[in-house]
Amino acid sequence: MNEISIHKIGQALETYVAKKVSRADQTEVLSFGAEILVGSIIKLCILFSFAFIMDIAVEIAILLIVTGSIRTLSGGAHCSAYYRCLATSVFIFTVLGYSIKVNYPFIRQLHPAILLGILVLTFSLYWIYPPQAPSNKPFKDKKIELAFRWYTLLAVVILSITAIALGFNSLPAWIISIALLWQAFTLTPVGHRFIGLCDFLLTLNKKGGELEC
Amino acid sequence: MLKFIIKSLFQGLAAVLAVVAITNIGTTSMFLMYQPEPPKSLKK
Repeated sequence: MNEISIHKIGQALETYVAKKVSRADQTEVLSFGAEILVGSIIKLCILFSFAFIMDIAVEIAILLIVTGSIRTLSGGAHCSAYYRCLATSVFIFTVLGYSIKVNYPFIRQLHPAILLGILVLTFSLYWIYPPQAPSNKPFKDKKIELAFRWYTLLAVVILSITAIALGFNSLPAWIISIALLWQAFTLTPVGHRFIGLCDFLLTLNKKGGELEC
Repeated sequence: MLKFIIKSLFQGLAAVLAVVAITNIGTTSMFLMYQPEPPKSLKK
């Protein structure tokens, strides 16, 4: 995996672009942007390939929009390498999307209180667990952390109201609530351990100590 | 003319990369569970 890494692809793209536009002074910034852009495009292409094959494109799209927008504000558990993030995300999103699709005839008959219960539980988790910045991008001060906490809670409230407004037997409403619950789970210690375990299981050539990553 | 179009395209791409970098510097990347190391010049 060291031979073809997303970091090297990002650097190669940045070098080519910087040479064409004569911006040698911005190489670090362009390289960082290229790594995120290329990484996201590859991930979305692979994820939606699976989604179209499994006929769960709508489910995956809603799951991605909800978890992506909340994750930007709240942070959450991370993997230690790009390919592990890719494999973990593809596995989790396809399992969630497929489970929702297959179980929807049963889910739509559930009592509305269950959807409300999921939304209340989700809000409680976002209330209990503060936003978690990645270790390489910590919050600059407490004020910014507090602002992110309120933005997260506001986004959760807006999405919860959207789910309720869509109706208790609507498929998008259930996808939104399950996406919110999954994203809240990644903030909890159990969620961190689960992602850490996925990270460990996907680590090739284990040398020991990978779980601390 | 072709040279101008190509240069404009690459300038646009460079601007997109810079915007992506700046918007991801203080927050978690939207679609990635892995966080690339941000540039030192932007960390300050």
